[in-house]
Amino acid sequence: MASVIEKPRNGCALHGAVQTIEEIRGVVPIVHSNAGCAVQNYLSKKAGGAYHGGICGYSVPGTAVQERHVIFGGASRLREQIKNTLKVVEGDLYIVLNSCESSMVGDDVSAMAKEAQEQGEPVIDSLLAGFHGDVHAGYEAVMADIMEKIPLVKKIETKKEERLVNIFGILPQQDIYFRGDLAEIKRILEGIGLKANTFFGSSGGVKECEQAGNAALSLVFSRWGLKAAEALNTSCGVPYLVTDIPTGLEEVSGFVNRVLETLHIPEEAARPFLEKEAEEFYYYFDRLEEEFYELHYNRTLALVGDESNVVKLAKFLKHYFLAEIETVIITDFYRQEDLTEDKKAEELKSLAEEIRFSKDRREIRNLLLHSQAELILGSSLEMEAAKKKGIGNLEISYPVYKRAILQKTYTGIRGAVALAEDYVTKIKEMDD
Amino acid sequence: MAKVGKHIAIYGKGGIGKSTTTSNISAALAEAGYRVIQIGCDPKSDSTNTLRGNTYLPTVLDSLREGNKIHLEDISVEGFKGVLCIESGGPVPGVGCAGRGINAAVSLLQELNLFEEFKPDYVLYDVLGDVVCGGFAVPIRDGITDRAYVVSSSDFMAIYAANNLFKAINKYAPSNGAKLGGIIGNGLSAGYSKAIIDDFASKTGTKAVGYVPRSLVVSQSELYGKTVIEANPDSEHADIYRKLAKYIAESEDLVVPNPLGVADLRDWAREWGDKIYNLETGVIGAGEAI
Repeated sequence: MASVIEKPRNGCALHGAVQTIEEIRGVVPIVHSNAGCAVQNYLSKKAGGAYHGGICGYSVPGTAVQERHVIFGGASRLREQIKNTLKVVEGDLYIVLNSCESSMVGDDVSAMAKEAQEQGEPVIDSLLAGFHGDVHAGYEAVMADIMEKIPLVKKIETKKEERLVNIFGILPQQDIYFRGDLAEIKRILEGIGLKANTFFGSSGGVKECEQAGNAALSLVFSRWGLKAAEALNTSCGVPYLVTDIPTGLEEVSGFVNRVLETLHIPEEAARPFLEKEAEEFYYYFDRLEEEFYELHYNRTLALVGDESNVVKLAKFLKHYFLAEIETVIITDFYRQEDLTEDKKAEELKSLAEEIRFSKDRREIRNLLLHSQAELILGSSLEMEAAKKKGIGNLEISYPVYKRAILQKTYTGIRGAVALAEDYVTKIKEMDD
Repeated sequence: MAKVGKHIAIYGKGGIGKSTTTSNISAALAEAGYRVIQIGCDPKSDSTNTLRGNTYLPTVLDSLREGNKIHLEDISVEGFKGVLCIESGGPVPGVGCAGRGINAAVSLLQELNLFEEFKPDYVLYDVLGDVVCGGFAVPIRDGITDRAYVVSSSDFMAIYAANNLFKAINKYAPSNGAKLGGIIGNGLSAGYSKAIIDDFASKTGTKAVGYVPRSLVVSQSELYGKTVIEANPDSEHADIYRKLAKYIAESEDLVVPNPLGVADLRDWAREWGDKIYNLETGVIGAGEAI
């Protein structure tokens, strides 16, 4: 039976693809849809805490198809738009994104991209339609398409780089701390002598996409990165390692050791770095020791957000602050079968008393209202429930309405310190 | 929009003779003195050919594509005995969305006040083949027509298409959609053809409203680019079409059909397969009179 979903927090697959590629420097999106698809994504993300840059929002080239393009086919309109975009928008890689209308009509989008390729232009396509899933599916598909198709339009030196690692599965703009997360993971990898392809962020760009096939390993931090890693594995033989996002000393050490083991690099190589990190970690965490008992850091918590982030935070807070994770509500699933195929379910069961899957704000609010949680970690949409319960809401997931987030992260060692600061601050505010 | 005249949709599998039947009904109605509009709802845009002597007629969607202001006189032409001929048109095969095209064309005709201007007694919509998607159900939805007829031979695939139309009618009838007038049997040649159509009609709670046997007169008239009514007005077939037109014009016997499920339809066809085989090979079942 049909039911109402109140304020679902995830946009469509096209939105996911748009927000992913606009965060790769040098990429120009060309959206083959009716007017407004890309702008809608821009506006919702802008309201939800994304700080855009580059070609986004109103400046995204698009075909703005009308009814006559639906009836008679819009391929020639797309051809025109690709041609014009190449003339007036500078870029290193142009990615044509499909839409619901175009998919239903069956416009031959690939043929248009191929035509441009044959003229020597760096144009590829990603054929996912909005209705194929939500933002996560958009990231998943477009990253896989880039990995598969970039050799068609770029001359790539096939030279294996033994120390180069790709990072997949951290979603731009959907993970509200994605820039900081990527920077911290990159810092950790560089600390142990590796190089990281983050694709997004200050060091990312088309060049990194070109080099991805030369990497020695791909790291997959959420299920949404698996498809891209598999594509690279098939085309270039790059192995991949599926891993949780590490936060805290123990997790970071375990992560580092797993990466080194996979790359057949002796663990000793990382020892100086990990010792230094441990020193820094304990330096800060020792300062919390006194308050730990005074303020009772071990609160009962409810977490709402995408799986990989929720697992990361639940592990950390349970381990270091002895928090009791009462309720976990996972928001990044699309189909019901995603739930039964969820490999993380077992891990989650060991972390939390109750695990729920929902994108419905009302359902989430009711779950929170009936929980014993003393602090919520969720999005701004959970603020209402927090207020009703008279407890705090620490924002960890999309959307976030009243904060500017640029470099902040809750990942790694530095992220662990930042998380500790914010967690303790919330406790103090609540106890005030 | 106030409805002017009776609006009738005619469906059926591709190639079954929808356009021939519809054009002959239009011609017969016009001959009887009625004001008639025939709208071809098929990208092939050849529904009204025999009514207008194969003359060039720009389609509604051709005009829409040009993007200029559209006038009724640009997209319609009066054919045999004043039948107003209109073709919705559509994209070239393999491109775009013909279903959306039908939708847009019908909306445009309403915007142009076609029916208020022409004041027809009868409007016939000749609609492409199966109801393949929502767009092709437009003529039987939203009160555009209040009755539909289906043209079918006794071939299984034609009956399958008719059954699909019944499904669409069954779905839309409760929300002001069209009801079914009946089945028009067309191109019938074998002795058992009528019996198959009658049996299918009784299984689905409908009825056959006319039978048009296969005939050289129909083929010949088509080749002359005319309807039977115009080319062979004194033929037996012209009278068959006149009788059919009279029935369709006067009948108010409309039903919501009960389409067969996929398995039931298959079993029903199989039974007929056995019956036909026995008939041809001379096996007589118990209680079957000769």
